Amino acid sequence: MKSTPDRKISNMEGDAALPRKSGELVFHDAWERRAFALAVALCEQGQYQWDDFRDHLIAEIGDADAARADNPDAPFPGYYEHWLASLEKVLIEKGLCTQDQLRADGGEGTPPQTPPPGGSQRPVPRVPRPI
Amino acid sequence: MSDDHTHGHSAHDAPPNPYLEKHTTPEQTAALEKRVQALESLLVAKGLVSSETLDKLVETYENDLGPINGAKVVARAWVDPAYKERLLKDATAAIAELGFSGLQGEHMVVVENTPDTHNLVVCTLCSCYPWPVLGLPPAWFKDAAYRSRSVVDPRGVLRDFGLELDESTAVKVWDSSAEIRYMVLPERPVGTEDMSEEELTALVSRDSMIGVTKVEKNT
Repeated sequence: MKSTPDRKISNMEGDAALPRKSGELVFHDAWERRAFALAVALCEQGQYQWDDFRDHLIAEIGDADAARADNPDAPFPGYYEHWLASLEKVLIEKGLCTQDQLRADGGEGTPPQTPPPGGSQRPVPRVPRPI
Repeated sequence: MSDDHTHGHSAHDAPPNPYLEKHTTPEQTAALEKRVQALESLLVAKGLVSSETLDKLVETYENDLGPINGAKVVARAWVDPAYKERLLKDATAAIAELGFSGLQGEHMVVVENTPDTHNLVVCTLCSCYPWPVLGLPPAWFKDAAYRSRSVVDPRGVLRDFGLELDESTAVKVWDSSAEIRYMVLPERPVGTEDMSEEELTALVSRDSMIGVTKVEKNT
């Protein structure tokens, strides 16, 4: 493992740029750190080129932006949700995993991204949150 | 504070990045947690990654101090007068010449220390910092005491860092913002005329590029 960050990764620009605040990486949850590490580790080991992964990431983000442009109520996935989806795609593309393995292990997988047809205006019940 | 000093906290933050807010509900978070855990287990089982490597790897990226980029910029400016001229004129472009980028819309401005003028960089309202060249900001840079005192008593701050300036040396304080990130071009120490660019790079400290210290020949 390299002891210094790969500038190609840490200095990505544009839509794919890692979310940062004053230079520090922003992770909201533990899974985001893990997903980050998995994608970087597999690239460092030569399982794929960073650009292979980044191209998926840019496409994922672009698709979500386009969907929101058409429909402002479209879901807004977080950066690392795009990241995770991109990682799964590149793993399948490179033959490191199969779709079945990801779904078999990953339980429900990606939740449906479109609201149910019929356009029910019933508000989504809010989840009670412990204070 | 005068009325023209209107930039609020948001002006100091990087341009709005929608991903800085958390969007997932607790249920979604739990599902994602499970999905990543399963993926990790799968990849570990295949022998592609080890969990220990993953922890270390995140640390490497989170603690990316790398002020080496800034040091290379400084050393190049010391040995190449034409580069120095470009750097002081358009720092963003000159820094990009060396392959360093990653700023998100901010402009870099490099200010030169001379025998007459010493420059000090601060972000009075938060912690705006040219991280692609200087890495992560040190904790004291974000400290309220440093942020306020640098403006009121810059000489006192420098004294705390062990730098006593002549009374005749002017001190200029530069307040970084979302749009402009400052970096100091320190003075080349005397007695380094025979050193190579690479050797010079090793002398340049992060603190000297913030302006709280000078570059010394022997560190």
